[in-house]
Amino acid sequence: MARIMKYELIKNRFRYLVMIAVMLLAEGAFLIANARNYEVAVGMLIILGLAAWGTLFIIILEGIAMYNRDLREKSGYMVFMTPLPAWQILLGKILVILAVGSALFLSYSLLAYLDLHLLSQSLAKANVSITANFAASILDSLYGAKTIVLLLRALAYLLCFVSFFVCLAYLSSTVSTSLLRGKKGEKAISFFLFIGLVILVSVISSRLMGDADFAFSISQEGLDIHMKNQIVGAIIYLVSAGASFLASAYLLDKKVDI
Amino acid sequence: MKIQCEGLTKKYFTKTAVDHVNLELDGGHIYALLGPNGSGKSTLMKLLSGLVKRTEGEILIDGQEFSCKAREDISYTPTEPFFYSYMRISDVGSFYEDFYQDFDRERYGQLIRNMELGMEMKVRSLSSGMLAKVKIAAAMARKSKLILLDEPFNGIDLLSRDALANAIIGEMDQTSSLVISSHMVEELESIIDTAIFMKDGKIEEMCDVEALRMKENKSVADKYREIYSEV
Repeated sequence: MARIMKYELIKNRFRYLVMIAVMLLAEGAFLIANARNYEVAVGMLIILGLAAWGTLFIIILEGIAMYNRDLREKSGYMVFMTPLPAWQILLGKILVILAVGSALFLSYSLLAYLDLHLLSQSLAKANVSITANFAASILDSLYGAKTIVLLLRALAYLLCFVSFFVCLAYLSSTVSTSLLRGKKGEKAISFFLFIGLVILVSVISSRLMGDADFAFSISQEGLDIHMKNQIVGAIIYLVSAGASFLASAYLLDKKVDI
Repeated sequence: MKIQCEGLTKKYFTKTAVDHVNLELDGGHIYALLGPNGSGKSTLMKLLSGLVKRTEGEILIDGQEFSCKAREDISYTPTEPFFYSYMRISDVGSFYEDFYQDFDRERYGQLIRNMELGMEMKVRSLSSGMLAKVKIAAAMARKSKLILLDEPFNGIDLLSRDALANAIIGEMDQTSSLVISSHMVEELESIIDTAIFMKDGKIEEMCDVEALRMKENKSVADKYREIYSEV
């Protein structure tokens, strides 16, 4: 499986380098703006946040596209001719997406934390009290061990969601390829199947969580319900991801022609 | 290594590409899989390599049902280019070394040199003939028990074809089985010992080349014409 991961990383190395370059450019632009104009710096910080979500989204989409290429193009022979079981090939691909996604998420989070510090200092110097107080209050809420707990919780939730998203997309592609290989509408069926599965899981999860899901309030009780629902949501994501993964591995092993 | 196919069938919707094939391949033999386009040669090879999944029937490797583990002993070379486009010839070697325990890196390097190619050449910039050489070098650098070569001489000039055929035979282990599919019947004649003729997804005839020559006084090409000119 480690060998699959190695080649998935090698195949995508230029894309990852571009993403790192984008992150560094956005950070460089923020640092320059922070030294000259705090309004632009605030804007750059927002752009940095958008870039974080953008790159994460690209990693997920590219991971799904690569699996589709492996199923439908001759280069798929490389990986599917190897003596590895289908589940190891799939797991290797998914782990690369999760590992790169996590690395990017943590890098952007660290940058955002440091940038907020810098921005709050710049704003304090410029006597812009409202925005400075806002930045300081965010930093206060993220202070010390609480920051790490929040970060890890967000990362865990993100990994559950990405696993769910990727495994469902893999299952949709695998099912459509096993049924309609080379036929018209194969990709469209895959897309609609994916949408259908997402809706199905959403309906199941809303039933399981009940109406209390949306009863979030600032009270302690509201926070507890929100926390409980987040855990239930993460479990539903993980169970759906696991079932989709096993179904994809079975189909790859028994039904899908490469 | 003994490969047995029993009632092996592959259907694509209404089309039957391989139709209830019964076949036994023994170690130490060189088989030619012959037939016109669409006769099921490539599908049969892909079934044996596990890339295409059977609709019915069985594939037994030394009496055991086919599994992904069997690919450790099977080397399949498709006719289409399939290496990752970023790869250099050396990267192909690294990939095979990583995934196949029976891959011999030195042997690969030697074959590449003999074919007058360079390790630093990019796969995507190679001509179809050069690419065919790389595919054969990678396949023959493994000590596989079953080697499947699908149209290995496609796009290769006459002189290189002879050199490649010699490389294939020269590098083949005495206990391995080699199955070559090709349209170039006359050129295969000197290197094969068994000819398998396929027609409409079925095995039309399987004959020993030497016996064909001695008993019927026919070449493989004569037999090919006899079987397919009736169509």
